Amino acid sequence: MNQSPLVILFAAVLTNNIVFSGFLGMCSFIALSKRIDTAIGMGLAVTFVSTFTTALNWLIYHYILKTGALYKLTGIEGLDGEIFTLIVFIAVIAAFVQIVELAIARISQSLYQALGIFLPLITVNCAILGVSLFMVIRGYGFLASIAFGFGSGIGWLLAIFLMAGIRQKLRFSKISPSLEGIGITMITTGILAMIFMVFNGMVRMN
Amino acid sequence: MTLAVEIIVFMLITAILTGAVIIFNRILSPSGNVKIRINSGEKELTVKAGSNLLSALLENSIYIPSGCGGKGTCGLCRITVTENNAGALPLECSFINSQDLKKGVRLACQVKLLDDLGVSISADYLEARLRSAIVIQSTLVSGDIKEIIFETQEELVFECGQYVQIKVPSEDEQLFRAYSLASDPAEQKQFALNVKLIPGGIGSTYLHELKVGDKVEFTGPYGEWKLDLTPETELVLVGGGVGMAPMRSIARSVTRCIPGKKVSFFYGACTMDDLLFRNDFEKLDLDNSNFTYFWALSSDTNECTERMGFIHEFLKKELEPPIKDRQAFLCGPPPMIDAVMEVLFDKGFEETEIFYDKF
Repeated sequence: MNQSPLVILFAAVLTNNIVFSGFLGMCSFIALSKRIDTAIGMGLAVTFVSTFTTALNWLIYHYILKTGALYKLTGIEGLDGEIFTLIVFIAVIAAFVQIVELAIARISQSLYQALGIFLPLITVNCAILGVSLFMVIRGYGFLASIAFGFGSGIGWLLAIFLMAGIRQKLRFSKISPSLEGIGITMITTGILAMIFMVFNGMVRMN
Repeated sequence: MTLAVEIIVFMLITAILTGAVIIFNRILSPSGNVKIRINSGEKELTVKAGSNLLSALLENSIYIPSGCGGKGTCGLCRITVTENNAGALPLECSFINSQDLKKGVRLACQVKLLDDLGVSISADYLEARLRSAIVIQSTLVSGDIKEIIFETQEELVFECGQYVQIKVPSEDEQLFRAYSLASDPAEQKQFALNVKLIPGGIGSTYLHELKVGDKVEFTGPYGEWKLDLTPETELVLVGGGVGMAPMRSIARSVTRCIPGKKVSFFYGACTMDDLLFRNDFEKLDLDNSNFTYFWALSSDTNECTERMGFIHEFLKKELEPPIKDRQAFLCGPPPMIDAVMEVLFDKGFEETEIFYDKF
């Protein structure tokens, strides 16, 4: 329960990597890992969104939604915002992604075009929502939540970066036609997940 | 009571989130005007931010050629951005080679107007005006190809291999489609287009429905095909399907003006019906000792088995290597151009001697 934020950060990147141990956020992971530059762009966008939405969601959850928090806020008995958790988390993520999308369109047209439809799809990227939900289930404090959100984003970035590097090499390899594209990508993901299991002995996350 | 408060709290959270999105949209969306400086200050335009360069230039009557209406699929609207170039998008890199990318060449339809820009536009684009022409003849030359002859009020000065942009009436934006000129440049107040009807195609449907006396608007001529006029330079023309149109213009003009020039015309079509203007070309072949006409059919099995095959195979067989000065002009579908280019390189052609138009 009371692991230090640094340990949580480390665990989120390596031992409990959101892609390789949770298999979350797979659709954009596979779709955007064809080229290293777009993979890094998407990875940074996910890291950014997951860090800030986790922090925002922590604040909203602990000060408004949690059982008893509304009573403290309003003084009216019997209020409970807990049932709104999921819908509020999703709304926060959606609003945040929309702002990030506006910012990317303004700053880099080429990244905006490369990310295409997958940028708004971060909204329903299960990795992002997963991080917010795990944070609640595991009962992290504010700093620990930020570390977890940031670490998970970096973990996702690391995963898609590795995958993009491998897929750029795979383009020049002889692959059985039936496995070309998604097939070999899934197999590679499995092998990478097994490699990441090696880190498991180092830190254990609750 | 508690239910009402819970709903209010929830709505409040949603309202705050929506408010945040609206505020950021105000801050981040391009607004106001941007300036476009053309040819380092020769002309300056003030346009609304947020649209793309191509449509902004069209609105200001600078007719940059574009065959796809700004979708980034034709690669015609090349322009050099000299100031504030945001860098080419991945889409553009398939149309522009790395040397030109370094010089700042972009596709105008992909340049989004966020900041002030400096661009250089060649003089013929700047001078291009919207002109009108009247249909004086429209004949079906094969199942789906029409030859349409237009008459202009003033002279249309063009060179062989150039094309015009026909304005297609459209509700929202300025829509143009590019067609090669198929007539002899000597016919000064007339020009002809050979138009293949593409099912669902906006441009070809419009042109096919035109009747004698109808008025069209067009810009041009455009095109960078540089025909070498010296008689010693041998000319190889390869046309596929309706890509024969510019070749017809070149063939007719060269045989008339430079009779000493050796011209070989290779014409690839699908079936006998698609082989257009056969009599015209055969007559040219008979009348001019220096003009040779080859044709091939790629998918007709009924007749002339010796003519069956792709045009690049005939080119490989018939074209004699090596002649010192020569030029090749190709027009047709992309696979044909690629195959023909390969044969030409094998025969010792240099890249600068080959001009092509893929469509």
